[in-house]
Amino acid sequence: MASPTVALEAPATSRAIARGTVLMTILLSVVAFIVIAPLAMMLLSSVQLSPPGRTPVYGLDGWVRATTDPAIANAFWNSITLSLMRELIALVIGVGLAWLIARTDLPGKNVLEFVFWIAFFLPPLPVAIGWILLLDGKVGLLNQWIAMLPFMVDSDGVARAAIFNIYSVGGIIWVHLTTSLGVKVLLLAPAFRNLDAALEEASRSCGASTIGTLIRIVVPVMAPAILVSSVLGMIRALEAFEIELLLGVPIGYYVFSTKIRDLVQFEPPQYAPASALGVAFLAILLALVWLQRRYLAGKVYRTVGGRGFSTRDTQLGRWRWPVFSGVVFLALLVTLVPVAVLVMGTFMRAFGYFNIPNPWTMQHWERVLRDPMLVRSFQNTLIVGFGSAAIGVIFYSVIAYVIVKTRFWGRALMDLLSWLPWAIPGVLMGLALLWTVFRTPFLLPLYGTVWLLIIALVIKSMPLGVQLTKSVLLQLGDELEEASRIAGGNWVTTYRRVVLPLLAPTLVTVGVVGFMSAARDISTIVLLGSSQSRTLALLSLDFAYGGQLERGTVVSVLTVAMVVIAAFIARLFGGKIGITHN
Amino acid sequence: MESKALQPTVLQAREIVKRFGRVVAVDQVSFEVQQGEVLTLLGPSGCGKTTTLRMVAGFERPDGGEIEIQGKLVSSGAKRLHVPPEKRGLGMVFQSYAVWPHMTVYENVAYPLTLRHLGKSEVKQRVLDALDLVGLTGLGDRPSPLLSGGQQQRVALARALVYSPDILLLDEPLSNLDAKLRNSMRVELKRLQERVNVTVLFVTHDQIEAMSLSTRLAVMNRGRIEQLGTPQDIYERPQTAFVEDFIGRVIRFRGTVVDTSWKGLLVEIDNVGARLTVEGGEPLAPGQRVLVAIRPEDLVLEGRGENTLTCAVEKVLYLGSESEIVVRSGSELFTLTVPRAKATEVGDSIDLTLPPEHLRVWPDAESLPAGDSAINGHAVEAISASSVKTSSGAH
Repeated sequence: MASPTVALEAPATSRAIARGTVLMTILLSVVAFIVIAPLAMMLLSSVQLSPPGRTPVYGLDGWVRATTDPAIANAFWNSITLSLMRELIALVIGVGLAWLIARTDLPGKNVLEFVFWIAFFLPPLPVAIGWILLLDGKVGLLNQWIAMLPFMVDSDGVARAAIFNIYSVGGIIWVHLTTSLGVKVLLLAPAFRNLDAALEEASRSCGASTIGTLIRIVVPVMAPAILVSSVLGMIRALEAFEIELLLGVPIGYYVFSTKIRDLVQFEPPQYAPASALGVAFLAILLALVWLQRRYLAGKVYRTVGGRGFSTRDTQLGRWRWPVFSGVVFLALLVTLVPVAVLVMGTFMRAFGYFNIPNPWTMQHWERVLRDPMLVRSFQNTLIVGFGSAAIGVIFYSVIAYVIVKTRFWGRALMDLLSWLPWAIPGVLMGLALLWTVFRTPFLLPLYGTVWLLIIALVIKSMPLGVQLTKSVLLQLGDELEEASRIAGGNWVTTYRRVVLPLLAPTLVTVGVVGFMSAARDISTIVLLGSSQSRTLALLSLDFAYGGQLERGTVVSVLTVAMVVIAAFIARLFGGKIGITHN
Repeated sequence: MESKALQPTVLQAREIVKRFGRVVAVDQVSFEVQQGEVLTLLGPSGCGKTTTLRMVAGFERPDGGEIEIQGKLVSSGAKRLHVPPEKRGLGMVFQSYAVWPHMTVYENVAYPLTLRHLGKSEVKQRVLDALDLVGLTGLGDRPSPLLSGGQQQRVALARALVYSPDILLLDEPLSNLDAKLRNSMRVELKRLQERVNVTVLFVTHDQIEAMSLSTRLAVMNRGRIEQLGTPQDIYERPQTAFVEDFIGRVIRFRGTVVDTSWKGLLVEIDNVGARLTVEGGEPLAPGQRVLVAIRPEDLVLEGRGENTLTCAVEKVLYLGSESEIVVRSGSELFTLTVPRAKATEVGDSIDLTLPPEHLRVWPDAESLPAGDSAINGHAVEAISASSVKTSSGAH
């Protein structure tokens, strides 16, 4: 019978209720506008054939090209097959890792979990550069070492072709492993942890082995959570951009996001087919998000803590140390190895050439650090990072509060709208916003400024921010607020002294995660940034894609440093991200 | 019963109504609470007792009716008046205790006082007094997440009492404690209430709590008060079949009135093949379907000729000091408790006498399942009225 408090209803008159409703309706309109308007613009631009700013000419040529051009169709299917392959590999390894970390007596599992947490937040571009330095067909360190092995030279003394080539589909999947595994551990470890050990013990007492129990009890019970994380991973995989750009485009392998960039950066820009491809892709993603929401709504397994609830660790026995070595190897392979190579790369005169005189140098650091472009990008990163984090925290928490704690008529709609950007790939969001700005005269001054980047990132991080805040607000019983009201505190006092302090750690986490997303993001802002508003991540892409790999490494190291520091801060405040149980 | 009329009325609810969509959760409930008494709202879940309490607290707005605290109107459906909870001067202990986890015990209890802008030394004195009162002396610095359930309960009590509210509202405060702790807290709650002489409005579904703590209690069912009286009144003189069934245990038989020619009634019991005489009761016509009810403790475990049933013992559950036995008469099964001295075995035959003065008879509404149906005299109207409402709500 406990019904949600009518939070904004504090004053006694019905006029005050009306005021609360009006404010919430305005909020709903803002959310609806920033989410729906760009999508509508994109739909419109897919049938508009004339460039923006001219007299519009409408037609279906864009759609015809998007559906008949084999290159576009190829990119479309590449996206899907690549994502499926990535997801399948990540699923098998990730479920195992999450179980080992959450449910067994694996040594040092907290540290290992944190390493995978870092892996999740590592920007893909620096990782990709690190792997290029290691696995490039010609200069890659590993390939060079292997070439020194005797059997790598054939009878005529000619070197065989390199074993590894990072510029391949395999290479793309390999580099993605860092993020893919990170996201699996991040989402599944907390879910595994909430499982009642009695379920496992019951299976063991019936005579099943550890592995038998894992396969026949743990995985089926966890199936909904695993499914949710798969759909989520699939959505994220489908929107991947920079790794595919760096490793795929040179060999003519396109996915949907790099194809859109290609079309938009074509001279003249091919907005109509790009938008058509985007709209088609969005339909698939929306279906996936719908699937995920359905499962999140009802079926995510919920184990309630209470009496008799135990989480005793499964004993790995003699496998304990071998498994530990394996997990440590994997953890370091996806994090430390590429980053260490990246750092080394910043000190090499020409990467991979050790036998030239003075192979080591500080000149890249000196040149880059003195470059006013870098200073500018660094400032931009801070402005965009802190700006989107600060605006996001306020915006998301108010949205979450309205959804969870009020009886506002539009809260279900608000919930849905705040989720929608989850389905919108970064590149599409950028494209859609670009169009919105072009077509809306009063927004045009935003073009080329950091503000446009901030708006894009606030929208992009909205689903995660709102969900995180919502999950904490849901756990915050209404009675905590009611106790304050009955003790004599009005709504404002209650919010300030009870709700806000309890929400604070989450808000800090949301802010830090927002900052990290902004600092590492490329796909959302790549079409929006100008040389004036470029962030460090965009700058390193420009360097790396423009063939200045050494300078790109320096900027990448700076980006990694920023993100890792932010990750430590977030961890410090104890905020955790997982599949929300609600 | 006692000097009710002499005590001033602290709280008055007049015909308050609350609807959630089409469901009428509280249907024209009226009661008043006098200074220093404990009034309990008792009933099964969904009977509207918590909603009623929340309307008094100000968390829900009544759709109709009025609520007055200390003679001041705080809620009125007709006048669209609603004083917010923080301006009602009430104290409340919640089912979940709602002890704020980011504050220490001291900060929790001091919170209402700092909102009232009291001086620092006075706040301190009153908080320490309140902690003493609830038996938490010396625990002020303890962070509240480290408290046990019982301790959290005490913090919630101290926080609700520290500013001497006009009325203390208790929303099932004992339901989250384990059985043993619940018993001791019940005793302590009673002691505390008598000591500070606070007026209490108490909501519970537990009849033992209600009977032992209340000055008066109101039994609620389907959004209405079925009976309001002292615990003794309610137990010994239930006015509806629902109240009789809800409070304490009861054995019931269905039957038909066959004779009303002397001061009592003669009822033919279904499925048993016996006729029972009932003393007093409402005037009923021969042929009317009725429920005949008796409390198990009023049964006499011997034959006395009149109103005696010969029963077969079907099951015996040994409980130590006593045994619970399931007996059969005709095709009716019922359970009663017998002392160790009267121990029986399965297959035994025993005589039970149902003394006419302890039997109560209620008209039987066949359409309603026994147990839920509360039918008697004036209450018939109420029930049929509310069932009409429910059915019209369903369409």
